[in-house]
Amino acid sequence: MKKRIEKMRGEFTVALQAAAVPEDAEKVRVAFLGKKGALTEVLKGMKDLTPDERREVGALSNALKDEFERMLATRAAELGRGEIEKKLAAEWEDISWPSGLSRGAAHPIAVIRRRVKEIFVSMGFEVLDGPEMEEEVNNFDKLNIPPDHPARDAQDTFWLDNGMLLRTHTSPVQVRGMLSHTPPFKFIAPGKVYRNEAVDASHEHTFHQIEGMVVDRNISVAHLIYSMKTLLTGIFEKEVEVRLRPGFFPFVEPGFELDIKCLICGGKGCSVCKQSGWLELMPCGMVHPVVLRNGGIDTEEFSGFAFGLGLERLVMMKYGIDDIRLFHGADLRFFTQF
Amino acid sequence: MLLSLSWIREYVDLEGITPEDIVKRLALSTAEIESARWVGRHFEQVRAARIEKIEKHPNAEKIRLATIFDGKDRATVVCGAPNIEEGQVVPYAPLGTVLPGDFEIKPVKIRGVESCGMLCSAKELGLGEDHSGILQLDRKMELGTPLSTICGGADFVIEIENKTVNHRPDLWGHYGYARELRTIFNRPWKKKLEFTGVRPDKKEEELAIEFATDKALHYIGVKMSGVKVGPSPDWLRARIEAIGHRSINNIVDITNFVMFETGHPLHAFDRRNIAGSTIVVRNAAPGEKFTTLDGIERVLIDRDIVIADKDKAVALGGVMGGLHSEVEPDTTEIVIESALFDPATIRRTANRLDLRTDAAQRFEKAMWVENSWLAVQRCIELIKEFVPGAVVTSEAAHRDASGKYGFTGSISTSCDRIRAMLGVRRDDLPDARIEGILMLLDFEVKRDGDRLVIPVPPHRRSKDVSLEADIVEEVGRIHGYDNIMPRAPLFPMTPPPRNGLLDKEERLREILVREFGACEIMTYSFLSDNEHAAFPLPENEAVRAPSLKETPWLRHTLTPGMLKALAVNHRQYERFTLFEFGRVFRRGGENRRLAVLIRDDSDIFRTTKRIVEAFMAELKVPTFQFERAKKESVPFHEDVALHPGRGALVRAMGKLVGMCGEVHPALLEQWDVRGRAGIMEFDIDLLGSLPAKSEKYKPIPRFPATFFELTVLTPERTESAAVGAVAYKTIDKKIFSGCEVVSSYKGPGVPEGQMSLSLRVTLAAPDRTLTSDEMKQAQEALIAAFAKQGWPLKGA
Repeated sequence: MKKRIEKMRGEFTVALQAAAVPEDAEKVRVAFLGKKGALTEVLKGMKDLTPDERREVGALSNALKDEFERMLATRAAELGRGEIEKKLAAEWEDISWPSGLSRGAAHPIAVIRRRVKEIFVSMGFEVLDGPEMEEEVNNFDKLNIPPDHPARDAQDTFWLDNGMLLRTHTSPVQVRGMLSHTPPFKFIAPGKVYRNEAVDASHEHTFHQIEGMVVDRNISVAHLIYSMKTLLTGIFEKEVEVRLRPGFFPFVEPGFELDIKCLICGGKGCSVCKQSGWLELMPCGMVHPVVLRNGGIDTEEFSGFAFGLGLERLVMMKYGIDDIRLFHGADLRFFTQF
Repeated sequence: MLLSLSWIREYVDLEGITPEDIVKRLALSTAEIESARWVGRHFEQVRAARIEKIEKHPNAEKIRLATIFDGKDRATVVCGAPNIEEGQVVPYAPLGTVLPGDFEIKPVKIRGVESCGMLCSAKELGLGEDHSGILQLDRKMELGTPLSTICGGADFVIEIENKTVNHRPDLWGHYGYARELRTIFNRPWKKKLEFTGVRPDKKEEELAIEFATDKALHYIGVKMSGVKVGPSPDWLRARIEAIGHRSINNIVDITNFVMFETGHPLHAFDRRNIAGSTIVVRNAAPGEKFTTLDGIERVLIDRDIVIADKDKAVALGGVMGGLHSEVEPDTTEIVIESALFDPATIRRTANRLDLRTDAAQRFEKAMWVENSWLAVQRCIELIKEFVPGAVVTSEAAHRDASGKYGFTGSISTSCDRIRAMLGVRRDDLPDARIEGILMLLDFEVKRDGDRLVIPVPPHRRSKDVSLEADIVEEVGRIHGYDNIMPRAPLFPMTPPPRNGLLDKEERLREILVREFGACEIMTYSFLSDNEHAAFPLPENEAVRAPSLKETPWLRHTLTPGMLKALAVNHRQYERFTLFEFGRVFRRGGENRRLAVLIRDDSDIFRTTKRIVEAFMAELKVPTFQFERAKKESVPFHEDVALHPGRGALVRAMGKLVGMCGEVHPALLEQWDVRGRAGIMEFDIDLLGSLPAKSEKYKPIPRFPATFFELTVLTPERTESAAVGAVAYKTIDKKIFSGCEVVSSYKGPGVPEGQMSLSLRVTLAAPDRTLTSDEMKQAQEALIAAFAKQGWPLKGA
């Protein structure tokens, strides 16, 4: 009996070595360890043995069964690895083949607008919106632009046949914002604006602004300068140097032109900044008392500042775009770049 | 507007301040500078020299060698001019001279002979257009004299960006800039202009002024006799030419000089051409013809103002004099006019006639009466000084209707208020500095305890200064905005209200870009006649911008813009998706829309539908359906835009929010595009206003669902939704959990005009596992219901 068991080990080893694929190893398992397998038969025949013999053969054959199972597992792993290797040898990808993913893009104006919005919202500003087709009174009168002002001429403003106009700036949202809010408040208002201009590489009749307005107690020019610096540092993601010059706009007093140190030459003077080292970026100022009063605000208690940021200018500077017509040009060779 | 720095220096002592500093400070405190440059520096270097000898050039026919002597040195100059002769005194530019146009004289060999400097023509010196020969100087002139003694010295010319001083009538003459610079640099006056009065030397005539229009505000007329018209003295010609103007004659140049000095335009009439003694300011008669100084006959309208005598107009008020009343060489008596008109009227006339003269430019800004008087005084002073024998022979006749213009009151403020509005500390801007700035600007400052009471001086009251904030600006700009330390405003820590609609717009943009690879574009808000006509709108709803001749219609749909964009790109790219967020307009108002255009050749409707479903999922719209367009209303012009069999309207929560589908082939043809495309247009105001589904967890069913499949034959174009509806109606609601169309098929094996639809019906109960009997019952009931519709089981 013991001999038979010993012999079985030899037979098993040979059979297992001969297995070429995982299925062969399985057949070997069935032949020895299956329901009618050789080792199983041995165990079945143990009932005819004496208790001593039974103990001895039982221990032997159980040890052998464990050994067979270990050997089977090892062999199966070997054979399996072979299978994987075969598969690996047969399979290959051209990693340079395009994925077929078509990349979309938001309009560059929308990208900057979102960035500016994020900066202001993080500083606690509300985002307002106003109509593009406006009343004359909101676009001009309430902003302290007198009836004879040249801006009202048809050569500057698109007048509509329903007596309204296409807003020439986002400033009418100041009026709407003041009337719908109780001070103190602070908001921005991005939007499309229109001027009756001949279109060329640097002029557009349709463009975008972001209006901003802060009304609170004791708002000063120092606050305005701080806020503009913070905004521009956020947009350009680096410290920018700014300066204020006097600028005249009927709805602010004092009014300013805000310049930033030329980003192209760093202030040394180049063709972009016309050798001045500075780029004119946005008009801003302390809200004119007449405008505040038109918005129902008590000028004894409150003051405020406002600004109008031209987005096209900013985008053109950021990406080095030299033709403003591209923004409304619908050419995908341009838009897929953002 | 050009300014001559040497002219400004006549009024104010700017000794020791560089032109560069002046430009910089002027830009930061006063006005934008367009450009600034040296002119005439070469006049210091170019000098008078006598030609001593002329020899032939050894290697050339047409050029000669001139030996010149400048009183100190001799030099040989190669010269090609035909007019040189020995003994002439000519302008000699030695080596190192820089002539206009940045042309530096360097030693050069001309045909093998070295030239040490250059003899100059008038043109080369920037003194005119004459380039026919070398400029001839007076032979008696002392050799070596620099040209600056006759042409004026070097000057620094500053060009002001006019539009930045539109609100400052006081900054349209050199004197105003002198006042600014004196304040900025805190320097004393060298010559302060003060009005002392206009008095006749003898009264020969009494002039009368009559206003027949309310657009005349002020008028002064004064007569001078004994005038002799001739060329201007050198200094005057130099001043006029330095700022880019042409010298005409002494009288005209003096009136212009005074305009560029004070900012106030003057006009001189030949007395002979004014009939009678009354000068009338009136509106032009409609269609009245008038020939201006430039010789052009103008047709006037009744909003124009003319200056007239009893018979005829003699000047186009505030804009230009008349050809037939100008000062002639033989003029001996003149009438000097100094007036004020309604600024807007002058602007309109000047714009309409495209005649934006120096005078019109200034009158548009609202000049002030005091300056008008000062200008007359200055003009008389100068004429008397430079035209011997000229005398004033009338009283200064005048009429004043300027009462309602300008702010004549005082402004009350305090130094603390000014500092608070600027945001500066007392140490940085003490009271004395504030008052000092204002006084240097010729504001009178009266102290009343802590209050400052500031009457607005005439030169600032006509347009510009009337409020406390204006005073803050005066102090701030001179103090220097650069000297204000930025300070963070303090705000309470409250989150701002969100703008729900704009947030949703951002989310939809994100989906289109990230999930559908779409590119955002922007198209104009304007449509051409053809584009407008393709999407008909009732006449009374369309809005027009008449000044846009080519594209006069405000868009009422975004679709035409998208089709145009398709036409721009379809030759370049095979497949792409574009979108635009934009407003559309109707007479009653505007609303926000979103349009998406898909360029592809197959499965277009499904693609658009997928996008719609992505939107609805993102916005968590509780219910929405796709439905076929009906004829009665076409909110999105879907009848024109969509392929009739391959498009849908989208209804969400009962409202029509948009359309989607394949573009109507007729439209593609109109926009000259081959192949196919998809279009969607959505009302973002509506879509954004829909409520969102409540987000609540539903327990996962405890008992497994079970399903069966069926294939039925239906007529072609039976919508799967109709099939699902039958299942929904037939099967017990308690166990029906869904009916899905797995596939549809037309072709061999299916009769003509029919199609087969394979369905999978899912059943489940919340409280038990369904038995096979229950399933069988449901299946049989459904088969019977389909049979009733005339939809047999396939193969049955």
